[in-house]
Amino acid sequence: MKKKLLAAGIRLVLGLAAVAVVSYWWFSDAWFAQNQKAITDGIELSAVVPLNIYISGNEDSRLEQNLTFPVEDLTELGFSNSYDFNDNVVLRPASSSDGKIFWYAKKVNSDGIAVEDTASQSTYAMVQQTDYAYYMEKTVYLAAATEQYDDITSIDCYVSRVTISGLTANQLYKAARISISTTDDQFNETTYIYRYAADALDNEGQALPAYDAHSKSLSDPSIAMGIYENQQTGALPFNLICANDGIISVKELTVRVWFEGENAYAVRILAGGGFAFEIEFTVVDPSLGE
Amino acid sequence: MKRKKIFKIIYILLVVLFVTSAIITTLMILSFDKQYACPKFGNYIIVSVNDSELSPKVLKGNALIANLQYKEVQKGDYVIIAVKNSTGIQYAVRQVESVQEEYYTVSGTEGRGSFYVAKESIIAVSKIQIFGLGAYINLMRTQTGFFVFVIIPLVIVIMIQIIRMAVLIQEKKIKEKYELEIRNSNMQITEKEPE
Repeated sequence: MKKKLLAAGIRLVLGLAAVAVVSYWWFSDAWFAQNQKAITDGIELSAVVPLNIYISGNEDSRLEQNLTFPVEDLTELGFSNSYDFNDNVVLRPASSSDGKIFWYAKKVNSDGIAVEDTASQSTYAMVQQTDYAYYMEKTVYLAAATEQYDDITSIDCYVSRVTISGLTANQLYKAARISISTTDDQFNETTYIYRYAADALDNEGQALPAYDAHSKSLSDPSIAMGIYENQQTGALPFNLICANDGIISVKELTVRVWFEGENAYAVRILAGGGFAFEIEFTVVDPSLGE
Repeated sequence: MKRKKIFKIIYILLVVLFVTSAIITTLMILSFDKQYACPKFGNYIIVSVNDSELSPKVLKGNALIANLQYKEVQKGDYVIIAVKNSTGIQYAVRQVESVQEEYYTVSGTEGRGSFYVAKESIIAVSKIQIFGLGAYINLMRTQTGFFVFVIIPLVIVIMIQIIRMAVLIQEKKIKEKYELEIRNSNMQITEKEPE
């Protein structure tokens, strides 16, 4: 009987020890999936692409001048399956209705609302193209590593996710906007503007942007950030040409970031801090016949 | 009696299953490498197969033991490619179709042709696969899986042990009481005998 009791006692102690160990696993996040994003200031931009697509933000002149390169140069030109960009840029509030041309308010009232400047009789002034005090611009290059097969010579892709998160406690990021521009084979440019939205009903990121020197747009052209299925609003479509005998074709995408000045969160009191954009590109599944 | 025996067999089976599962989970957790986001033993990592691209040769839910310090890649090898996505790092397994000086050509994704992969993108080469281990690791890496397959069985085992101990203590007390009664009655008998 004593032996039986001792054995049961040992089993109980071992069980309790196991509880202590698993409790440690449960409360530690070493094992479970986790987010290791560091707290920083400035703007972070992360882009991820599918397995057979490569992305680069390299400023190599070969990329700017040529739309093709041999596959041997893939690594040398900075192409990989993800792209991370970090810039400690300080941006002043700006406004854009097309994601390409930016305006700044000549004069603002105490609520941060643009008011007409009596001397020039205009409310807004256009930001010069190279004046990066108002917006951040980054060109990224995408390339399909899939070799042409059967009668397939190109791959359809789309922007499947755009999100923003604050890296610090303030809420300035709710006023941040991002535009993505791409050009098709006929050189027609398409630009989508994305604004912060916690969900489909959230309108905190909304604002009417400047249209010209005197007036605002009648509606907000931006799309709420989130996850998009192919052909949904927000799923910016683009096309990548397949590799041809080891020659890779490049698609240029321009990303611009700014603080929409008429948004309630683009106020001095919230200035400073950092935020991170994440963009995900997805290949259209050919099996779905889309 | 028969029911008690069946219950005991089921209990032993469950304990063996739980202990094996706990040992495997412990090994995976202790060897978990944050850099690779998967279990790592020396130069080898255990990678879960999360797609059916190489089916039936490599099945979804299996795990591949892959060598990080591989010397060369040959045509037909299964290579591990690290891919970053919204949920973190994920690994894709593809079969090498041709080896060139600067890159490899690997089997395509579903419905796609083969594609080029820079040599630097290949993090490991695998030749061994374990059936079902990948799905098991993936399940245990979710809090729900860990709760259902580790914590709940552990709590059940402890409760059974507590009940067994209580029963044994009770049995011991009854036995002692019975022995004392027998001893007393024996003593009474021996006291009466001389008369």
